[in-house]
Amino acid sequence: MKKFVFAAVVTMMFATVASAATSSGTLTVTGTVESSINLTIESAGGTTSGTGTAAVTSDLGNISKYGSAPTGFTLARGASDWTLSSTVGVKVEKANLTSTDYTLTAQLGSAPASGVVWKLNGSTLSDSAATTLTSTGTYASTGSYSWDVVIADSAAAAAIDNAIDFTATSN
Amino acid sequence: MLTARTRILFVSLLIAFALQLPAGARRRAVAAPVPSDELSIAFVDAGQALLDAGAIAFRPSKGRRGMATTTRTFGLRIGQPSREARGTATLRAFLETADSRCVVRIDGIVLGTAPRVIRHHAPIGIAMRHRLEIEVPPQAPEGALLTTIGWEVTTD
Repeated sequence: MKKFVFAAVVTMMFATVASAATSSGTLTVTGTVESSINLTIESAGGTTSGTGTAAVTSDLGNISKYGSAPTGFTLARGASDWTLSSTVGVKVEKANLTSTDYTLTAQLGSAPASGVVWKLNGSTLSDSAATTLTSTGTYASTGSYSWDVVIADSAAAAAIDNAIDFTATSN
Repeated sequence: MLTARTRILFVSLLIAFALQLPAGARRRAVAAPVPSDELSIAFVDAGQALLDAGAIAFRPSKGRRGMATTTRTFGLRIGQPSREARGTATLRAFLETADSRCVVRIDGIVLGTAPRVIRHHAPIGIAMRHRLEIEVPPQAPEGALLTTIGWEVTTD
């Protein structure tokens, strides 16, 4: 009886093996890995929104020489002007790139209001040419740049809205 | 003189050997296997079995853990097209030629040099959509990428 059971088991095993069929194929995948860098504004004075992205808004609210400084700013009163000071944190990351550092520039999006001067890292910004903030920026590290808005006492009481366009270029 | 027990064993062994005979020599008692040529693998929308993933670059909104990623979907059909499944098969995939710079996934399954099951009970004759994902770490150098994915089908 034991031998019969063994023979029956062998039969079932053979039947199972015989029913399987196989096939194969190949799919070739091509592509191109491209290098890239990514700039984000990590921090800025004022009431900000969008930090950590490339499009940040900073609202200074109503500002005046003898009022209080906006959030994240200090206010220094001069003889004929006053200055709001803060910092801007800029981070540049790289991917699939052998470059070891980058150049960062800034430029105003539009001409500043009369009597208003925008400065980054001590350099006056304009809307006609880019100002270099650093030519040896370190990737993946947030660089902090001083940000000053100098307003003459003679400037008209009006909005000072503007945009600072940052551009990072790998070296 | 053969004993009853020996006769039973002899008959059982005859049955076992009979099942190994060619299909044409007898009427098979088990389900007929699907011939290999009817299991041919066809890539429905990847002409010439070639899929171009295009440019792969890091996109902050899409990147996973700082990776450059790209995805493509494609159809794969086992056997000749049919309205209804003519059986099922297990589909496996592996990297035949690997590009060390990237990670390749099919339907979320990371591929290596050893075959991995992509789908159990895949219908034979009906094209199924699959998702190819290529992930490139930021340290990888730029340049052309080439990888070959091997596929295996075995009837269930």
